[in-house]
Amino acid sequence: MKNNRLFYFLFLSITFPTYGQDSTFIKINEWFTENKFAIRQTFDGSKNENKPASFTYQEDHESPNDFLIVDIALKISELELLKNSNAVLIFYPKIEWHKSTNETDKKNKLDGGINFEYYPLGLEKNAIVPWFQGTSSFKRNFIDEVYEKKLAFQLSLSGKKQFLPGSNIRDSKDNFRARYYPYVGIEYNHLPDLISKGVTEEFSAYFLRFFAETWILPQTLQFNLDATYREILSTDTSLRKSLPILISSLYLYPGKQESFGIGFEYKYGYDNTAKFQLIQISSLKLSWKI
Amino acid sequence: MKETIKTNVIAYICSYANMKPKNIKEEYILKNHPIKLDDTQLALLAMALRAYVKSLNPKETVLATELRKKDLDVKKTYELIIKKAGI
Repeated sequence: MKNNRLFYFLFLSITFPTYGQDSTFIKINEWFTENKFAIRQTFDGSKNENKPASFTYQEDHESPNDFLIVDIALKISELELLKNSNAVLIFYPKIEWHKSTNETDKKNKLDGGINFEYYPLGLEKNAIVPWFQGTSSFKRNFIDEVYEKKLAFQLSLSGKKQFLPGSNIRDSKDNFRARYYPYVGIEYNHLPDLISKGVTEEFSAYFLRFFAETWILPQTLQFNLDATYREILSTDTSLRKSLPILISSLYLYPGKQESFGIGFEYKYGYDNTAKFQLIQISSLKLSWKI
Repeated sequence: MKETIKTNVIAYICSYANMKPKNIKEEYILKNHPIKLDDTQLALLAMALRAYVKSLNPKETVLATELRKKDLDVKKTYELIIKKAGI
């Protein structure tokens, strides 16, 4: 409880005074923008990339312990190929850091990799088009002192017309209210010491995912829903085969801006970013998006 | 001709953002409120503007990475297309 008060104090003292025209945070924001960096919660190839980086103080419903979580990802630059064709192909390197001091979901991983996006068709002659994303992650797991590998490839859809996947859904006053994306994909994981020391879990999985962002109050209050059903295809792993997870979050962006905010997140399911165990966690987050 | 390109580029932006042209202002940044185009939509918009530019000046192209710049507003977008059209 004492720590909760400390968090609120830090939030109030750090966040609200920063919306002055010349605040230090705005200058930092501008520096990252001018130098073509992007900061998010992750660049895992999904629309999680719309989520801000976050520094989190959490309460675990399964234990009396409170703990700290950091999720921050840096996209450095983008390399675009097929510059004169009817398609778009973009590669970009990323660096991520994910840390949790939660005993039931402990992690401390530094992640580097290259992602790509491929758009084979445009929307001028099609109402809805497929697009593809590939991600590669090479992680240093500082908890188990091992290196992990993950490769993923996924397909999504996008259209322009209201209510199609990827379209901007607006109200009668033209305010942006919502957008959603469905995904289907496959992934490969190489995870040493995941369950037993000295044993590497190596498996493929397919997944179905649904991501939606909704603006309850335009430019102020955002609700995100991220649901994934993951099914392990390999038979030689002792992990549970069916791994659903639901993540919902609510972010408040004071001052008609979307760079800094405070969020509440609820996560329930099997966490593929840690040990694939069942978690149920509520979080308060300080968020930062550039 | 410049005015035609400006009108057409704004029409493209409105089409991809699902916005009414009367609600678009030149200073609105493509990625931000109220236009709110995400990276996927900007890649698809780049493909449309690339075809449009090539119809005016086949030697030029439009890149998704150009449209994904964080400070790109409506005015800078149509000025970019006018420049690439060679007008």
